[in-house]
Amino acid sequence: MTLAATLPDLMVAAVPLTVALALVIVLTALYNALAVARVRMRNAFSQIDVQLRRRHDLIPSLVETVRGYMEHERSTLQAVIRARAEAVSAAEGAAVDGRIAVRALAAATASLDGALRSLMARVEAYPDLKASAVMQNLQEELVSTENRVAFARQAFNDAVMRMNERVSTFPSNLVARLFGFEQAEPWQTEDHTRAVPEARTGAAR
Amino acid sequence: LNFFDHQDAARRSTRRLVVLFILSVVGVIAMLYLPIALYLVSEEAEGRGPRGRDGLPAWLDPGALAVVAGGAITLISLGALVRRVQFAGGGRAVAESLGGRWLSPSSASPAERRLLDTVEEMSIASGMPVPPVAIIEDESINAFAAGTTPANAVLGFTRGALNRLTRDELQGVVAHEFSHIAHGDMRLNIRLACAVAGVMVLVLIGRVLFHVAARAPRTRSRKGDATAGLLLVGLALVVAGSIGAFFGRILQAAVSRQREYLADASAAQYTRNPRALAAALRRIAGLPSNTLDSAAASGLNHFFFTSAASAWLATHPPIGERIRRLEGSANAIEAPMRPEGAPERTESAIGFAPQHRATTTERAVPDARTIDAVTPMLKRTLPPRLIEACREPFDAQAVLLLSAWGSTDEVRERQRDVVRANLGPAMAATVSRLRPAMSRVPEPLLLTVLDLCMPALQQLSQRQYRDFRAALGEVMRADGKVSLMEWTLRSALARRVEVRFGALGDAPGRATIAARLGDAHALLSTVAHAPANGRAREAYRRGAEWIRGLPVEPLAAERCSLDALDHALERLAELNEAGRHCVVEAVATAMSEDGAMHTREDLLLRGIADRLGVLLPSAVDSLEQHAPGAALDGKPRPR
Repeated sequence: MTLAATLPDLMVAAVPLTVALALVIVLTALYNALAVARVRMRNAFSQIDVQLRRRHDLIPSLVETVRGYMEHERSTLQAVIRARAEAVSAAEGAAVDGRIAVRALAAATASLDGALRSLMARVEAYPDLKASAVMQNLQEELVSTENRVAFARQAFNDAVMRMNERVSTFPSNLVARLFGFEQAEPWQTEDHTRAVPEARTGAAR
Repeated sequence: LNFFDHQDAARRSTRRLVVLFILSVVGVIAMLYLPIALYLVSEEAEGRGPRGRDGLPAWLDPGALAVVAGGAITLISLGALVRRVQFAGGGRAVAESLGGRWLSPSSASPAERRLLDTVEEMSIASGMPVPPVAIIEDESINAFAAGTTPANAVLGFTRGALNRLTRDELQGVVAHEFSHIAHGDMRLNIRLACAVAGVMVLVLIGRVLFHVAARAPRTRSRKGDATAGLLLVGLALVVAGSIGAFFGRILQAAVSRQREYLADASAAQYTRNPRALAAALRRIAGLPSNTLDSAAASGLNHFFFTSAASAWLATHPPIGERIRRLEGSANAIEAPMRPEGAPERTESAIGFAPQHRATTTERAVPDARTIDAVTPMLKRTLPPRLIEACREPFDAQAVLLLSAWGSTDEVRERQRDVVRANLGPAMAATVSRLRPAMSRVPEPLLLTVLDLCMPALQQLSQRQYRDFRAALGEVMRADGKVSLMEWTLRSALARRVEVRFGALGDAPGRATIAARLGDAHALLSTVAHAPANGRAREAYRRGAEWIRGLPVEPLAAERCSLDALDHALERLAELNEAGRHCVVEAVATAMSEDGAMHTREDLLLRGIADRLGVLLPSAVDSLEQHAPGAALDGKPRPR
């Protein structure tokens, strides 16, 4: 019969089997780490998204408040309204089918930042407006929302960096290539002065 | 009903399961050895029996048996390990593997806000850290709890559950999931899933062998022999593995169904509203199909509120039966219900009611009155701006920093500098903005406020948390001493946040109380000296009744300090669950010796319980006494 002859062969076969299984364990762990890194990154992005949305919601009431005082600043207000519209549509297009494309959103947000800054600079010229309770409230809301955006951006960049580390370093880069994990793009801010100091992008620790 | 009883029950059933599992592994090995034994017997019958094996029956070949048993056990454990690795990330990883998105309080669509409120109420009422909540974009109605301990637990809800359930129904579902967390069901589930996965590996390998054998070229006879052998072994593996896994599944499903009934019953008990949970179930039953649309869900079935996939071996009891039991308990509850306006139980959540020897941890079970009181109480006592800040990852840090804020201008100045240097001017500004609101928070409510911050803090990246923790440490040290509040805060952070950042584990250890008597002595002595009312010895003796073998006399007051307490707690954290339970009871008893629970004592108790991973409910009813205007410090808490 064959069995007596094959038993030693099978024992030899058990060794590669065990090795294969150990390999499966390692692969699973690597894959999971990648998948978790990607989900964390998306979650971190949705934190930014939440704050940006809140900010976009604040702007119409800001414009309404300011309009009454600033008859002569129509172009500044128009710029803010336009920039907001662009930022809103960029925010909607940023996360399509699980991929996060932050570049357009970062650009739109930066131009909204610029428009808002020049509006706020104009507000300085209207002491009544500046002193009004509504305006002060709005201003505080805007500032704290901006802080939160900067902070969420920092968390997002940290998550992107972690993800990219995993995608590009051995051995998980092999798994990443196998399952189509790609490098993600951090949120680059051109303007460093306004953000929280550390929020410059996660290029370096 | 006692939280620890359930944990004990869960542990006992785990032990039974281990025995059953070992039996099934033995069965699998026997089944694998069966063909070899048959072969040996047939050889014997043909007179070609193996040589020189005196006294052993013909079918037994110890060498072959050792190979089979060793091989099977190795493969099963490796398979279980694969599964274990998948669960390694704790509850967060489970939710994330299902594609969950973490809910942020600020995202606040009204439906999401309502869910988070419900979860918060339940957490505060049960003393459990507020778990992060994930939402799964799926129209079915479902929910799950995942994670191995209350500190690393997460909850997940489908979009359908949010949109289609009323608030009461949702509360019932949340309570059900909380029961899973509190009773340690998730740990049990993970172990079971790992065991079944281990046995399934045999089936997998058997199939691989089949494939290999089927594709092998059949030219030379030696190879042909090997192919036949492979086919045979493959077949044996598939059959043995399938039977093993089948019984494993049945076991798993049976246990899971029992835990579901228990969770339903507990939810009914927490909310006193079994009809709402029954209504939620009925809503699910009325749907054409309630399967979650995710491939990952089929392996995680036992985590869910109702079966997420239509499995043949149901991990959940039939919905009709669950509804029937719930409504049975509804009738039972409604009969002896207290008439509206009748005097309520007056014992506060902690403290010792003499006639009713209820224990501290027994009251860790949230009750309906407390749960419903949480949100109104918070809204009445805390400024809305502060509540909002607690829920924002950025602002929540400021709230925590402020809880350690100094009492003199000089210290505060130094603290402000620390914050500005470490966390930037924006954080310093936020701290200043929130300071007036935070300084009006009554001290007993501070821990509740901190609890509210915990889910937001989990949104920080690792680096952000490290920076924050470093700054908080410096802020606390700014006045050169550690206050009790700071100590409690540190314990709460260690238990509730750092566990999630992987800094430390919080599973119960194995040490028995007898092996930690010295530390229990130090702890109880410190607690007894805390009120400084000259009754330390009496308080100590009352507490010592809980622990056999303690010295009769407490330590001298000079030898008690927060440092000594830290040291003792570090070692006591290695206690098993029963030991932790005893220690917390002893501490609570010693504190209530003078018939009152002071704010300082409450803080101390909470810090100790946090460090030992014991859940204590917030004393919501007594906190309400501290609504603005009520007298605060030093006064004994009314009971």
